[in-house]
Amino acid sequence: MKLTIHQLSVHFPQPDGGEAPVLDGIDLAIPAGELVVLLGASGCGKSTLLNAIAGFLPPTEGEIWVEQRRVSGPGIDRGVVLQTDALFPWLNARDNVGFGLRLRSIPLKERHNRAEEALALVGLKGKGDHATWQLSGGQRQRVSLARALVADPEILLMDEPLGALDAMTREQMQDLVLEVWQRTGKTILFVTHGLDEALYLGTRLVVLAGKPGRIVHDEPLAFGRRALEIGSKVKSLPAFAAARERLRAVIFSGAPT
Amino acid sequence: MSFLSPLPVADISLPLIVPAEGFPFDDQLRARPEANPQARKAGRRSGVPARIWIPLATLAGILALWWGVTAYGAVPALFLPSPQTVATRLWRLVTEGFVDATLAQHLAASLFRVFAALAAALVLGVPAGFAIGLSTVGRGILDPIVEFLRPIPPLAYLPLVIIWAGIGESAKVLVIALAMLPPIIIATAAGTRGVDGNRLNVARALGATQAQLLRLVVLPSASPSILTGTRIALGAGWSTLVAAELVAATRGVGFMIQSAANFLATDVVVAGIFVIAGVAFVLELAIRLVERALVGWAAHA
Repeated sequence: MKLTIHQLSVHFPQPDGGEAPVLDGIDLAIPAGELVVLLGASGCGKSTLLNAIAGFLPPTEGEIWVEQRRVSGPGIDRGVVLQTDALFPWLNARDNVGFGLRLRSIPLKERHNRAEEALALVGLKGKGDHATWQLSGGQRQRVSLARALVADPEILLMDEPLGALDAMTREQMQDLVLEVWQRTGKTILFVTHGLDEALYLGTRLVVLAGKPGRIVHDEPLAFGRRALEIGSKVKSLPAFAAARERLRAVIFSGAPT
Repeated sequence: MSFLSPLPVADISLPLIVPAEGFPFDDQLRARPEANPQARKAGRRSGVPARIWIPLATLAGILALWWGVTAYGAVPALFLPSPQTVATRLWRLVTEGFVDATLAQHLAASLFRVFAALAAALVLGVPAGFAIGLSTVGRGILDPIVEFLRPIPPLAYLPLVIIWAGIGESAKVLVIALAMLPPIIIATAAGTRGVDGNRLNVARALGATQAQLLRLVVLPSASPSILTGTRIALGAGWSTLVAAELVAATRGVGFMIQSAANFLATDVVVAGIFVIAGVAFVLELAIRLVERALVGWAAHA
């Protein structure tokens, strides 16, 4: 297993001294190469789960393992792409992408080459010299993705990365995510609250619901692999519509199936 | 006092100001001419725009009034020398000097003190601001000291500084540095506290150590605030200069004004005031240029 989560619970301390449970008893195992979509309504703890996996947030109980290594903090084996691109505005696009390599004292020339390669992979060939504020929202998110990829993580954690984009850009970016997944073979955990997006991208769907959040549904999906062949036509397939209706019922009932 | 965004604070703190975006447009409530072709045509017909000719006319008016009251003897020259006298004196200050030094030498002495103090204040103030902004312990220790120091006028602690540091150059630099420290510390602390948590997390996930986070994320993120603090500090330091040069100085524009007052050389006093105002204006412009060169990205972010 690439990622193993065992009986994970996260409680947030409250101002009154008590604790609010956000996640409870999460068990999840993700094999290498999957594109797992974590779906849930706002406030169900899906970002909290991602933050715990990234190591930004210590678990209250339970364990998180990447391969045979237990997670005790952030690490380069887990790349992160957030909803806000969190680019460094004092660096141009290329130096943003190369930031992780700079941290490892990789020589400038190699850093540049690898950053340019990553930029090309996300469709930003030749934009390396652009300042971040010269890029559109979609382009900024592409830089953010390239920045995570260039460090060559084992797992890519994406927290609603397309949530702040307009509908048309979002569709293009969904195809980009599929393309990058196919070309790099990375294991990806993709958090979203969009059911269509989840169905379109995932090889597997995990639904988080309730307070505290629990995994209420977990099933394999085939549309993502299909989309690599026929593109967005997947969304017009009868099976896609049927799956959407079925899963909508699951999400809104919030009950384990 | 809270620093929500760097620029407005600077604008409140400095009366002598050249806004980064230029002088304010004549009336914020009215549509700008470029938004309306007809209005633009009308604006072009009237020639020089109002935002330029009104301040120029004000300055010309004050100068004319000054010339008028002195030319017709309404005010004795001892109290207010005429503009021509001051201009002539200014030229003689440049060529001949006053109290054994030319204007350039006085200015050099003053600027040396201010910049030595600025260097000391930055070396101490930026790490102190980091400590306040990033650590509860640092904040607990340093915040009360800064808040104690901040409201005290430099003239109030000048005597104590002289007792401690004597009447030499170090006392003068120390007084100016003390006046510069609070704005630099407070602005740095605000800048470090305001660093986007997502930026820090992304850097951590890319493998940044604590030292790398400080150097490569926190410091650049806080640099616009630090420069704003530096700008306010330069203003504060320049204002403290005259006070610092009251004591046992032999050079400096503040000293020059003081000794001129002792001889009732009002023209030197007035010329000196103009020099101080002019240098402050140039310093302000210079640091705006530095800001644009170093943290120009902040205007877009």
